[in-house]
Amino acid sequence: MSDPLVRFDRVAKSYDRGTVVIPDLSFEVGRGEFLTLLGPSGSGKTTTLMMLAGFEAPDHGRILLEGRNIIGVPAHKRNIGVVFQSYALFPHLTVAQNVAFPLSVRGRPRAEIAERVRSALAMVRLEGFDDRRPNQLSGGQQQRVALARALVFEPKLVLMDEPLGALDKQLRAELQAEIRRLHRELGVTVVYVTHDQEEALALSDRIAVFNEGRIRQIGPPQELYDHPCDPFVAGFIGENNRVEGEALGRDEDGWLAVRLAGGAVMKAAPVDVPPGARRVLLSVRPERIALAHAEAEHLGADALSATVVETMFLGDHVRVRARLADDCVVTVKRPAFANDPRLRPGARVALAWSAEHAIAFPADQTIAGRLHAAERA
Amino acid sequence: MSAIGRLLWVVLAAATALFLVAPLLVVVPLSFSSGSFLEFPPPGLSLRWYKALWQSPFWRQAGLNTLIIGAAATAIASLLGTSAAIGLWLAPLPCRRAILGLILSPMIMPVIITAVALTFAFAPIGLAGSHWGLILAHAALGAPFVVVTVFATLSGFDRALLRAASACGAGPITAFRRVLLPLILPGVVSGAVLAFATSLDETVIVLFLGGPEQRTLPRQMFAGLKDTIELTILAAATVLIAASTLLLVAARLLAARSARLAPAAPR
Repeated sequence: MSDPLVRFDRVAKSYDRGTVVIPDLSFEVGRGEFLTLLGPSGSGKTTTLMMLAGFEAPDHGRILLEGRNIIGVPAHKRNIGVVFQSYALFPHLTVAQNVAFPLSVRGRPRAEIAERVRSALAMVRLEGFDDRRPNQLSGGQQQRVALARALVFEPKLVLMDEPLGALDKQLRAELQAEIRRLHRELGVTVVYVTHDQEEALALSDRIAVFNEGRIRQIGPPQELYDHPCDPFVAGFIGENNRVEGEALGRDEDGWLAVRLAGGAVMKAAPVDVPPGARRVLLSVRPERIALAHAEAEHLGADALSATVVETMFLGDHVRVRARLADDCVVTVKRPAFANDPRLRPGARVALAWSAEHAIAFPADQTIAGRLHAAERA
Repeated sequence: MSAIGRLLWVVLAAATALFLVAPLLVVVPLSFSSGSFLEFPPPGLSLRWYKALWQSPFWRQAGLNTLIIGAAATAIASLLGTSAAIGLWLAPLPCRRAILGLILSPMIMPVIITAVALTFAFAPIGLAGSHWGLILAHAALGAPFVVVTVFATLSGFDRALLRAASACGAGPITAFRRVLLPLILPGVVSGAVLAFATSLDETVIVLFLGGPEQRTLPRQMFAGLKDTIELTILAAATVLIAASTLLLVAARLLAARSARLAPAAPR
């Protein structure tokens, strides 16, 4: 990035001189970009945001805002808007007074404040709510006020810490659209923290996937979805099946041949698999698996035989869970129109996928362990 | 509960309440007596003792002293108590409980001990027999009440509000003045009311530290009981009771108002 707005340069942070939250973090945020920090709780994403806001101080490293090191600059002098999960509206002030607060502490003239508060409330579609108190508003309305308050002083950078975490699903979708619109219309740079991968996919220009205080992968949503760099990212962004297998070797096109339990040999794109590795972990998206009500032997060497465990009709799609030879259960997503009444529990089926939709990771015990830990969190 | 049990319960409650307010039932009507002696029931009703109270230079001076000392002590106690409570709340001190205990110790310390100690401490530095000596002593007695009430109010305060203020560009002083203080004000006020009430009826320290110039209402009543048994004392007592009641009602109303304004804290 030639001229980033924000740059983290080898930032480290630990709490109580013991627990290391962030060992060594470097990344950049481009001007006008919508970057989401995504990760399970305790992965360091919120700490990162709080350091950028100025509420936490890093132990080492530099944080640059427009090329200037802001370590040591107190939060109130950073000119960064912040939206909190708890809304953090001032309960003793009206909606208009809340939105006016950043302007009035900056000593703006009264007429200008009134005008900008009016347009900020219009921007979040809360005209006419000026004299209400925060406790007279719904959660969604409160968060709109918080958005207006964070944007009214026209900061270049706005930070949002799980702003939709306390809202129900429908309201969340509505406010996601609103936030996307505001980002587009105002051209403001947003750094957004969430643990909800769907939200991250819906909103972001780029996503940084956090785990254990490190960025595992950073990139546009589709890149992370299609080309995860490790099993953690594969499992965290969208749904993924994991199947263990034995690496046999690479062909001339670079595909890795993997023998699965039961004998079928599948091809996959290897990621970070060292040449001598034996055990690998295949990662395949549920919507990329083809399923046929047939015996695998009749279909060819690259079909897997499986037994249906259960079939769920979910309106727009059907999910079939099927057990492989090694008791590993995979999920298959099929369009609703392909619903097949014969896919009852116990039915014999064949599964297959094309090589480009399967990724082989080294079946490193520690990575698998971490993955499970992350899943539990 | 049986009917008899319930009846017993009511009788017991009524008896307890009567026991608590009995002094008022005697003092207040007697202060309106037209007679000259402590006789009950009063022979007739009049305002003569209130008139005497108002016209006596001694009582007027005592009332003035009470107000000056009480107001100044309350101001100091509120300032110190609020700062101490906020400091304890904000700072992650390891021995917070111990510090809190130390600050609250004047509440449980027998007043006579405090009085003796203060007399010895204040005499050499010229604070005995001065308004300032009494003001400082009463501030020390009142500050713990402010600490307790402010600390209780702060426990329901959402810390994210301070971060939000800071993210809005408010420095620590602006954030305190415009966000923290308005929200904890009910705690500060009810603490101040308690501190003032403490000063209002404090007698022991005034006996030890106060000279003739520092006679407060309770001190004047004490002296009056010893010298002349005048019903002016009862009028003064009624005034004190009325003042305390008004203060407590005001504090309750404020607390109710703030509870309506800010059931803050995150959901």
